[in-house]
Amino acid sequence: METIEHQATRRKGLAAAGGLIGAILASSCCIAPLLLVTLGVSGAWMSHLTALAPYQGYFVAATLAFLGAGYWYVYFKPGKACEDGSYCASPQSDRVIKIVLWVATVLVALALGVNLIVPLFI
Amino acid sequence: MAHTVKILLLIGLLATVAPAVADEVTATFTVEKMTCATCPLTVRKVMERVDGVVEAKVDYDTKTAIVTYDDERTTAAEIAAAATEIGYPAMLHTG
Repeated sequence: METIEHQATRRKGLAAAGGLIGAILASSCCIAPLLLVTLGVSGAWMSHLTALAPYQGYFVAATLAFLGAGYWYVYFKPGKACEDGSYCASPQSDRVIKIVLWVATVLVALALGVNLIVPLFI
Repeated sequence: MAHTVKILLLIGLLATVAPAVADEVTATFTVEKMTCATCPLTVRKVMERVDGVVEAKVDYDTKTAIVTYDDERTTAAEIAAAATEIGYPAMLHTG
């Protein structure tokens, strides 16, 4: 029983981590350089960030898939009846996973939102 | 005789160009790899950070940057290098 719960947590964690990495990659090409340049940071290494731009769509798609899985595991998956005091009854790890999921969601929403909003200001 | 005319023309040309040296000049650059909405904004910011640049207008559709700068404080090559360095290869547009 314990190992099954562990597996579920690991799957949730994997989905959340994948979503976060994807969200960071999706925003690194376009938001990060703009932020850095605005803050006065510049350097040849930034060309690596901007080079990711053509792949942004893939990163966004992968992120959404990971996030979808993550949210489903955390919020919608029918839970098993938990015994009091058992690991799954007090899922500390769920809070971390939820935070990661939400952070990744905000990041990816920013990455997409900026693409829609910025053209209005140029 | 023809030589004298040419020299006079040259002097005349230099005389009209020389006063413009200390003024602001405008150059057009073609900028590559601007594939996202925020890219032109990033290019503009990085070009305007070059000392001597007065204004940079970057157009996403035509992939060009029109930069006004003080040619005593910077050069077109320096402005192009600033954008190229962060991953948007810029070249002075000629013609």
